Amino acid sequence: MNYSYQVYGLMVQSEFLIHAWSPVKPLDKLPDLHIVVGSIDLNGIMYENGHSIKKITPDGLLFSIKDIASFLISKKGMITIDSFSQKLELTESILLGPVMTAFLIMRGFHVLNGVTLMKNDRAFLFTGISGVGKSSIAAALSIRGYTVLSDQICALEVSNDDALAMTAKPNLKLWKDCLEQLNIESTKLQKVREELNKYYYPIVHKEIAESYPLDAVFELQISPKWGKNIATIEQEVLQTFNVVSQNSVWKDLYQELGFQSNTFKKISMMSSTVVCKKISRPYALYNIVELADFIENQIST
Amino acid sequence: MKNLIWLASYPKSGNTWMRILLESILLYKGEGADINKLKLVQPGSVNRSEFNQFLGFDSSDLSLEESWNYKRLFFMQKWSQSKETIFLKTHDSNLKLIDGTELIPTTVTKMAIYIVRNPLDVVSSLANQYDVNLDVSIGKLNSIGFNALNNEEIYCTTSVYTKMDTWSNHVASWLFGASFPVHLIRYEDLHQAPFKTLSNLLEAIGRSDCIQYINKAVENSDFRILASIEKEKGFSEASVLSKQFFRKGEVNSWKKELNKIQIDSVIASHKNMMKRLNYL
Repeated sequence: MNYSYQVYGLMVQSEFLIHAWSPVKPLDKLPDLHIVVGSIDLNGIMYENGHSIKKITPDGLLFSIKDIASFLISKKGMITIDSFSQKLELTESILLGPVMTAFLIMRGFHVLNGVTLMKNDRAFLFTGISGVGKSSIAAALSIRGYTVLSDQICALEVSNDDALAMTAKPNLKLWKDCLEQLNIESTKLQKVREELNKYYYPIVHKEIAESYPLDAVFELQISPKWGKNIATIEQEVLQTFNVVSQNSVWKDLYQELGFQSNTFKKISMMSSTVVCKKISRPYALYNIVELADFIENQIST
Repeated sequence: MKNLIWLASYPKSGNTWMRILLESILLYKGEGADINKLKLVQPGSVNRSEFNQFLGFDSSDLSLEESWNYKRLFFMQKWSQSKETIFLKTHDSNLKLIDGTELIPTTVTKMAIYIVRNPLDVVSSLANQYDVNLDVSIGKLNSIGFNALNNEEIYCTTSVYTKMDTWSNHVASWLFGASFPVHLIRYEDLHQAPFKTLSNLLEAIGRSDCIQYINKAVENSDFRILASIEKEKGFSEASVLSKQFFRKGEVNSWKKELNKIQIDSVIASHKNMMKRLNYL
């Protein structure tokens, strides 16, 4: 069985069901990306760090996580998945994270970590370290009328004039404590994994464009020294460069693919055209709604 | 290389005090250490971004058991090349993993210093740390799901989940479940006989050359001094929920703080381990 999706400006046909993407009607043209399930030969290839493989081969980029799955990412528009276990949720998580990142980089996109929202045809990226609360903020703002363009990774098409954030129409993955804070009933939601109190929060996607100009980047961070307040600091161009660079995903891959100088240009361009702010939130027990109020205020100013 | 020395304890059992003492003795010849710039003992908690970098994918979809398996691999990878002795603080229970191995990998571990404190005294200290009442604190002490955060339902934060387990299970995992040498320190002995306790410790870690600095370090790391520094300059590691990290540090304060029902509840849950450690 094949599933169809339209993400990052690409028509995708997949033999692998992807819960975090919203399906579209079957395609009437050839897909830009074909995700197939097949076997991948790992003979003679050693796992780095005891558990992973990242290797450029004549057939494409080979990415493998021991005991979970291998992926072969071909520039020609095919991703082959060889899943070793029944943990298909983890296979999906890896597919939508590092594997799609690699594919998008190969296609010339610049990829940042984070969640992208849109309002009034302006896109806003929320980036920051893992676990800082990016998806929670996205959920809070989606309730207020913001459209979630992408989650986990943000693919940007960077030109001399602007950076376009590509749409992926994702469903968010939210922890139970976040759902409770946002008064969202979890009993009817599908769990991401049976073992976790984490749920798919379906986003209703209205008719939206393939991409939107990126207007601002917000780097979420935790207040140093257990601070209790929410605060913001606007970043100068050089600081923006650092924020964009630090939150770019799989940076060594650009170099391995020979894109290094182009990447520097892209980050420089973005740094001079987008507004960048660092937003600190309290270390623990923070109120998502209060933080969303604060961020909305920042967006409007 | 087996170069890690773990400084392990259940929370509020004197781990930070021990870090300050060790820093003073080993780095400053007994002079007072700056509590806001402690550097000898590194945090053993695992930053999620660094963990993700190591894994190659986002760890937030891993089950707890999977996280611990990968955490063990992370420790092995990160510390396998270190040539010098590294001190690491941890509140993790030394969990037995599904494949029978321990969370704390023996391949990189030289030894552990395990600090234990009478659970009856841990109760009020833990209550202060999490800003909860004594009954809730006792509940945490008895809970197998107790983790490093206030809410047991929250386990995706910027650090990888730290499982404390019950007080008895935590103690047992280190004292009776470890495949590497463990040097036991009773918090009460550290209070009542600091020179002897610290001399034995320095001998165990091969630093008897620093025994001469013990008395000065103990004097400079007195709880009243630490509390006064915290009051004046703050303590960067203090919980946002607690009013003060360094409180009294007294032994047997439970006799004034807990009622009979609370005392009986702690003893009923931890009787065997308390007996083994001479708390009963």
